[in-house]
Amino acid sequence: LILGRYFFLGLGLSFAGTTTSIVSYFLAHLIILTALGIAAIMVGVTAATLPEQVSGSYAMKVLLRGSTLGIDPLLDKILERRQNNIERLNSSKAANPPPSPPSSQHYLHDLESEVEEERMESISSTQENILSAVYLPPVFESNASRGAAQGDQRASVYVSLTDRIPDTLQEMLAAPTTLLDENGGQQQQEGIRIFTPGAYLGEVKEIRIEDIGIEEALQYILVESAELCSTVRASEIEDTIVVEMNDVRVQSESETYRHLLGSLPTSLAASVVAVVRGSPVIITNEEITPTRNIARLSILEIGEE
Amino acid sequence: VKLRWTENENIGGDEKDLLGRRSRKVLRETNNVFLLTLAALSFGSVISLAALGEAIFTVYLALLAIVYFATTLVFRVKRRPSFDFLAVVLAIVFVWSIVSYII
Repeated sequence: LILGRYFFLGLGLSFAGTTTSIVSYFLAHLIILTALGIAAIMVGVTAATLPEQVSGSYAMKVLLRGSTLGIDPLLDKILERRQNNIERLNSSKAANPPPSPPSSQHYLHDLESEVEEERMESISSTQENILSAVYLPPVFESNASRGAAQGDQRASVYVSLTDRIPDTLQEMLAAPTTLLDENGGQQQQEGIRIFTPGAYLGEVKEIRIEDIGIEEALQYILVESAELCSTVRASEIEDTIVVEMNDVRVQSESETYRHLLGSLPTSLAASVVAVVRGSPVIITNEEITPTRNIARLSILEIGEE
Repeated sequence: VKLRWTENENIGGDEKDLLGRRSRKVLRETNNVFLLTLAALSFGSVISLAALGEAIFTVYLALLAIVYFATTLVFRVKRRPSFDFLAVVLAIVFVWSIVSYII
């Protein structure tokens, strides 16, 4: 029996309540004190049977570690391929600097896309590693019938193998789920779609309620179901969601996983947000301390087609 | 974009809140709120009945049982062991108190 935090407090309260009840009922004949004693027993027994603070049980740690184990070799290869591609791209850029665009091309860009590009560039320069991963929402039949994409009810993660992210959700969903051979004649693979432990979150009905809040959904998955942390809070400012997870004691993912996809709790949080919002999500920042994790997620405003 | 602590402190409200950070931390845990609610309701109900001059012991027992069932139903906290023997005892006490009062 694993003793909870309030076990001894509860035991003491129960003992005091029992003594009070017996003495009051049989010797003093005081109904009120007897009732108070019984109330103390009730609270004491309840306190004694409450388990330790819900946070990262060992069984859950083992299960989650096992679930990420399968994709670790693939992630290692992805990381290697990505670094090679970026190095190759940088060396070719240094050898052949791109010519300055003609002035007429400036008029072809509309202001909105320019701002978006600038935003993406500024984020990329700060958190390049985690930004390579875009958490994609599952595509349900209702969306698929509208031609958004082929119905795939699994939430996936698009990992870019180059320095760019596709412009549309369709392109990301169409990415291969394996690493293709690097042949000289073939076109370079832009990215890969992988599946994390949060792949089937779209099947959880509790987080697919129409007006469910992000915090409520995160609370249900991370705290109540997975027991990854004791509490979770979410704050939304425009397209950015700041997620704060307290007492995260499960650091079960591999170094490569954390490098490419973020820590496991944050990765799951990003999958939850993608499912709830139905939009691609990126982790722009993550701060891990011994007592809490703070992640900043951005919802990508990209076209479906 | 480096996230600073000062930005995050505003997530849960003003830092100069009367409750303070520690109190808020305690109240964020469901187990703590459950225990506090159960204690407040059970002791509160006994004191209220005493203030009203109630002298029948079974009334106290029945109310305590109701308070317990209502609180556990609302909070649905996990227990260890999962079998709630206190609920069984209180149910028996509740039935016995009602039956004995009627008879």
